[in-house]
Order: sequence, then C-alpha cells, then structure tokens
Amino acid sequence: MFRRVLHSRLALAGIAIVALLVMLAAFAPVLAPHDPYGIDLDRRLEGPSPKYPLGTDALGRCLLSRLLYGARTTIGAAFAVFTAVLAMGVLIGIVSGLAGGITDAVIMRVVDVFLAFPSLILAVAVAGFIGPSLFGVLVGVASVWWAGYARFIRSAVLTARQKEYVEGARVAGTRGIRLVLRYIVPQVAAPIIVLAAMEMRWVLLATSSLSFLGLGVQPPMPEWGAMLSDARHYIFSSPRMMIASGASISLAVLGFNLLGEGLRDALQVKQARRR
Amino acid sequence: MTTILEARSLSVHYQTPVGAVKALDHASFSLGEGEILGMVGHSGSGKTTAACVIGGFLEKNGRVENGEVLFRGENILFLPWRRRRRILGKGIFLIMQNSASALNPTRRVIAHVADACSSGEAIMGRKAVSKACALLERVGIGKDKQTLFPFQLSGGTKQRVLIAMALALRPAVLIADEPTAGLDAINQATVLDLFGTLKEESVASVILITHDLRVLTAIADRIAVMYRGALVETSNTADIISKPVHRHTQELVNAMKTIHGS
Amino acid sequence: MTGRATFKLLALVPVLLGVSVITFSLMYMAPGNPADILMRAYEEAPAQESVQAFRSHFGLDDGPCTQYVKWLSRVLRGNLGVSFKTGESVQAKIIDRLPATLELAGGAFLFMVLVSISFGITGALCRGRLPDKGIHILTVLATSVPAFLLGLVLLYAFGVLLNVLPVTGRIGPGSFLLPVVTLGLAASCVYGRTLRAIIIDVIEQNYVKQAYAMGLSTRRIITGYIMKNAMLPLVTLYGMSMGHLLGGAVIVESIFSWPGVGKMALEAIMSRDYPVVLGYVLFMTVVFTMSSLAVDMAYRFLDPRVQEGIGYDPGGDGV
Repeated sequence: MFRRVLHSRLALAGIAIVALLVMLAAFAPVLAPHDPYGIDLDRRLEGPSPKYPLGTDALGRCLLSRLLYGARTTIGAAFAVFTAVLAMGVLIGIVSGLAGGITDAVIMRVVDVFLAFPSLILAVAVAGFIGPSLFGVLVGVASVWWAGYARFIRSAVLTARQKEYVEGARVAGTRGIRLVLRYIVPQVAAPIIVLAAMEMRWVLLATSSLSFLGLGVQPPMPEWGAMLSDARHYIFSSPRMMIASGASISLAVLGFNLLGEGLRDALQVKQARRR
Repeated sequence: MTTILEARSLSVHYQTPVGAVKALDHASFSLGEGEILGMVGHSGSGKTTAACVIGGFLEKNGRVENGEVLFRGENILFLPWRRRRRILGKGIFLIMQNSASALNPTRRVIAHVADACSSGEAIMGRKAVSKACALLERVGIGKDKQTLFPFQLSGGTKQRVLIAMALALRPAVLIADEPTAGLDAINQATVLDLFGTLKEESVASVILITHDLRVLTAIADRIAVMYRGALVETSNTADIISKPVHRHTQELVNAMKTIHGS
Repeated sequence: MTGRATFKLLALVPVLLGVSVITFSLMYMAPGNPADILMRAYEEAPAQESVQAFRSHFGLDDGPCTQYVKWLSRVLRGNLGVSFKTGESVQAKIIDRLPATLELAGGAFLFMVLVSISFGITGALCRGRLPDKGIHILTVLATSVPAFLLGLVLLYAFGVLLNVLPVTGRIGPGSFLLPVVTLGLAASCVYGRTLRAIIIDVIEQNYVKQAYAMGLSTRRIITGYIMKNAMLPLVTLYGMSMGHLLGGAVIVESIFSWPGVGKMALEAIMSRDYPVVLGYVLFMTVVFTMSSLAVDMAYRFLDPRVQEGIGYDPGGDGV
C-alpha cells in the first residue's frame, strides 16, 4: 500500500508541499526575519526590499514574518479542527454502524438534521454566536463537518460487516473490540485515509474562509485568511499584498488536494460524495 | 451456397497480468448465406471472443495476432473504427452475451426497437415507432409491455426484444451470443422458435453461440465445435450427433445423451 | 408521484424540527446576554430598568423550553421576529434581500451545470488528449484556489487592471458575471471531472456497446444511451451543490458587496443582531431542503427504476 503511494507522483508532490509548509510553520521563529507583531508606521505598504523580503503591510509589519507565523495559525487550526472532526466522525460512525437498532436510527436522524443545513452557513452562524475568535471557528467548523464523516464511516462499517469473512469470524465467536480491530478497522482504514486527505482541504478552506470573513482570528494575530482580508482593502493601491497570503493558502490547499487525489488513485477508493 | 462470412486462421490473445492468454488459436470457419451455424464449446473455449472480434467489440486487452475475417469478401478486422461502424447493424449485428445488461435501463423497450428500425431502414419518428410496435407484437410482446423499461421484463422477454431489434435491422449476419442462457425451458423454446423464423423468412444468416449442444440440434444447419480456442470439428448437425469425430465432440454428445436421454 | 412527494415532504417535518431546535439553541451559545450587549450599543451603561424592559419585551426571561415553543409557534405563523437593532421585521428584511442571493446562487447553478456538462463530455471524448489534460489542470487549480481568493483575483484582473467590469454592487448584467464565476467555478470543474468519470464508465456498459452494434448514429448514442444514464448520478450531486452555493454566497457577497442575505447575515453577526441571524439560517436551510426535494423529484422523474416504484432508493445508504 505504501509503495503504491510512493509510486504516485501526485501523492509525492502533495506530501512534499504539505511537509514543506509544516516545516515552515514549525521553524517560524527561526526563519522569520522580524517580529510578526512589530509595527513600524514609517514603513507602511512598502515593496519587497532586502530588509523586508515580501514588503510590509498597512501597519508596517513584515509580511514574510507574518506569513511564517500565520502558517502556524492556519495549518494548526485546520489540523485541530480536522482531528476533532475525524475523531468525532469515526467514533460516532463506528458506534452507529455496530450498534444498529434504535441507537443507529437516533444517531442517523441527528446526522440528517446537521446535513440539512448548508454547511458553511451553519459554520458561520455557530462561529458568529460564539463570537469572532479562533475558538469560534474551531467549534463552528467542527460542529458542522462531523456529520458527513459519521455517515460515511457508518456505511463503510456496514459494508465491512456484511463481508463473508467478518460474518465467519462472528460465527466463530469473535466479538466486541477484537472483531472491530481485527476485521473491521483494516477494511475501513483505506477509505478513511483517503477521505481524510480529501477532506483536509475542505477544512482548511472552511477555516480560512471564516477568518477571511472576520469571524476567526482577531488582529493582530497573523492568519492567512485574515491577512488576505486585510490586504483586500488595498486592492487598488498595493495589490501586491494579496499575493503572499493568497498564494500560501492556495499552495496549502493544492498540497492536500494532490495528496488526496494521489492517495485515492493509489488506494483505489471511490471518492466519497459530499456536498 | 455462397459464403457471406469467413474467418481464416484467426488467433486472438488477451494480455493479462499473468501473461498472454490464447483465446482463439488459428480458428477457421465459414457461414453460408441463409444458414444457421451453431458454435458450441465449454466456457472459455473462445466462443465469445470469436463473436466479439467479428462484431468489433474485442476487449481492450485483446489483440488479433493472426488471421482475417472476410465479410462479403472484404477483410474487416483492421478497418478503422469509423468504417467498421458502417458495417455494424445492417451488415453484422451482434447480440451481446448477457441480455440483462444489453438494454439501456433508462430507455423504454419500444424506443430500443424504434432505434433499430431507424438504423435499419432510415425511417424516423412515428413511422419507426409503429414499425417497432408491429415487430414487438410479432415476437410476442403485447402493447401493454412495450412501454415498459428493461428492468421490468423477464430474461426471456428481453431476449425477444433483442430479436425484434434483429428483425428491424434485417442484418446480413446475426451473431447471437448465448441467447438462451438463463432462460427456463419454455422461454428457451420460444426464443429458438424465433431464430427458426429468422431463418425461414431469410432475414439473416445466423451464428448462434451456446454451451448447450441440445439447443443447437433443434435449429442449426451446421455445428462448429470449439475446444481451447481452436475449431476442432465442423459438420452437419446430424453428423455431429450421430458420428462425432473429435474426442471433445464425443464427450459433448455423450454428456448430452446422459443428461437428456437419447 | 404525488404520493411520493407528499411522503417526502412529511419526512422533512422531523428534520426541520431538529433544524429549528439547533438554530434556536445557537442563541444560548452566545456569551453574555443579548439585551445587555445591545443596550450598550445605545447607552454607555444601560439602566437596570431598561435592560429589564428589553428582556421582558423580547421574552428573554422565560425558560429555554418556553422560549423555544413561543419562538417556534411564531415562526410557524411566518413571523421570524424583529431585528434587535433596527426593529424591522426579520422576514421583511430577508425577503427584501433574497432576490439578490437567489439570482447569484441560481446564476452560479446554471453556470455550473453548463460548464460541468461541457467539461465532462469534452474530457470523456478526448480522454488523455490535450483538452482533457487542460481541463484536469484547470480543475486542480480551481479547487486549490479558495473562492475568496479567486474573487479577489478576478476583481483585480477585470475590475482594476482591465477595468471592463464593475467591481462591486449589483448594477446591471456586468456586475453579475464575476460573482457568478467566483461562486460556480470550483464546483463546475469538480462536477465536470465527476461527469467525465461517469461517462467513461457508462461507455463501457453493455447497453452502449449494444447500441453501437445496432449501427446507431453517434448523436443518438450520446443523447439516448450515454447522457441520460450519466446524468442520473450527477443530478444528485447538483442537488447537494445548492447548499455549497448558498454557503459560498456569503463569501462572494462579502467580496463583491453584493446586497444579498449573506452580507446581511454577516453584518448582523458583527452587531449581534441574533433574530436576523437565526432567521437567515432557518430560511436558507428551508431553501436548501426544498431545492434538494426538487432535485429528488427530478431524479425520480428521470430514473424509471424509481419512477415505477420498484424497490430501489438511490437516496438511501444502500444498506
């Protein structure tokens, strides 16, 4: 399985991009030439120079430094949401799929209710009610996205359960956790990995979209979506400012995009339908 | 009797992950005008490959290694797809194996036959539909069933729809791949009767492919026995039954007699 | 068919009830009490009496259950309450802004359908050749660029650099183009790729080969045998995309200052005008649900296997 992943050039490119961004985020304090919060009102909206490689923003802060620290917020937030969503989805999906009966019916009706909302609208509303903050975005996106996963994983579990050899293991007396770990998890692992890679980009898009709308990270904390939102006010005077944060977001999404597509092809899993 | 279709020393190999598989190995046979040629053999003996390669639907991993297929004297094997398509339908009509999936699930029965009519005679619209209606009646599908969708029909009825399409097209050569597979005895008899009708009305020369020798004894003029991709024996139906020469033919005839009595 | 529609509508009732519960409980997630926050907007330190008056006026002193029942019975009578901020009725506000959003989402939907179908057919017929590869690259790019960035880039390119299209607002057909493309492009590409895969799959089906074997014309095979079957799964996807488009409209409206409900909701969130936000979420969810229902009906109309009521449910989980 891993050999096939490594043979896929797409997946490799995706892994490379994601790894690069994670490294940049991790070593931001070392790499950043300036303090990302350091305001210098005498050097507002400057172009690239040896001192400020990407120029400065409206408050004279170093764009490169903000970009590097922003990677921490943006990618960190996306990973946090993602872990929460995945954990919730997997747990609820497996419970629902294995329990069956009333438990399953109740969980699935709740999932139906959550899926009835247009996802971004609910996320915006939840984040809005909690109040504009990073925490609001995390809860907003997570509270919306778990439902789709739960349903997907439930149906994967149900499919896995119907296989003859799982049935055979049950007849042979394998029960409970053992059955799940040995016979069901290996089957649903591939679709979950692919789904995870494909969905990472949605989570990244959703969190940075909310930040862009002003619902997320509050100034002066650097975050790519919020930085782009700042930059758009200067679209006429210095459009250059949009490039750095915009390109970074796209690159990150592209990385997860390629990784997901590569994984999907390598593991030959049909793409999960989503809205 | 003039020969309308002839295969000469035809070899087809499939490329598979475990190496090349010889599906046809220097197989030769000919089909006379107005004749029903039965092709019989065990599963995997190359019957379907022969049908597909003549009909123009060889699987992507298959390759013609040797030989030629002459239709009205012209080798059609290596024609470009555009020219090949001109022969399809009116020239050679292949009824695919597995009639269950041969009909478009979202298209009504009568529309299928009407399509065949417009392909066969260049009639369109209402004319084609009324012609299709008449043809379906002929194969025993009444008006009440004509507007149904394929999934609402039994296997025998679907096979009859395909035969109605053949009646509409009036192809020079009709190749039917396992038309009786999966049908009960009564439906088998009905379908075979219809093939007999095709011959009597000299609609088409027919190659009828099956693994069931008994089916052929009723209607085939000649029978070709396939074994591991090669044609091992071709003879009149009566001769095949009474004095089979090849060992495999003998096995088939004996098996038939054991199961059904002589 | 009508019976089926009624049944589907009835099945929506519990879902919409659940939606109303979640929507209503959003209010309880808000830190601080709305009365206080809102009164602060008018006075420095609100007097205890006026806060109290506000709270009893909006029924904020009742228990959550009582408040919910009161709110729901009002909503069911078509009354979404009044804006904390301006005192306007919420439904009037929404209905006033709705046409702009529907125009945007509808336009993007049409754009998406047209572009995805042409991309899908082109990609499938030219599989592996230049047009197919071009569409694939465009798809990778379009799905990597977030809508808010694409919007800004288009705005800069056409509005600032070329100066051929209006930058913001909703004035004339020109102002319509950029927002629609921004909203619809990514989905168009994704569905185009999906359709391509489906078409390639359908071409391999026996009934398409059988259609070729009948000697039918290419046009007849594409229209009668390939497209109808290929479009079926896509119709479901189109239906689900409405939610994506309505949600994306928030971003696009914010970028292009498009005077729709999304922009209104954002402003309401910023000023903590809760009834407006609640009304917006509820309204959009109903619009989304209804459009899904319409698509479901369209599916039933297109697919005979469902139409004739045979046990076959494409909307179900298949288990």
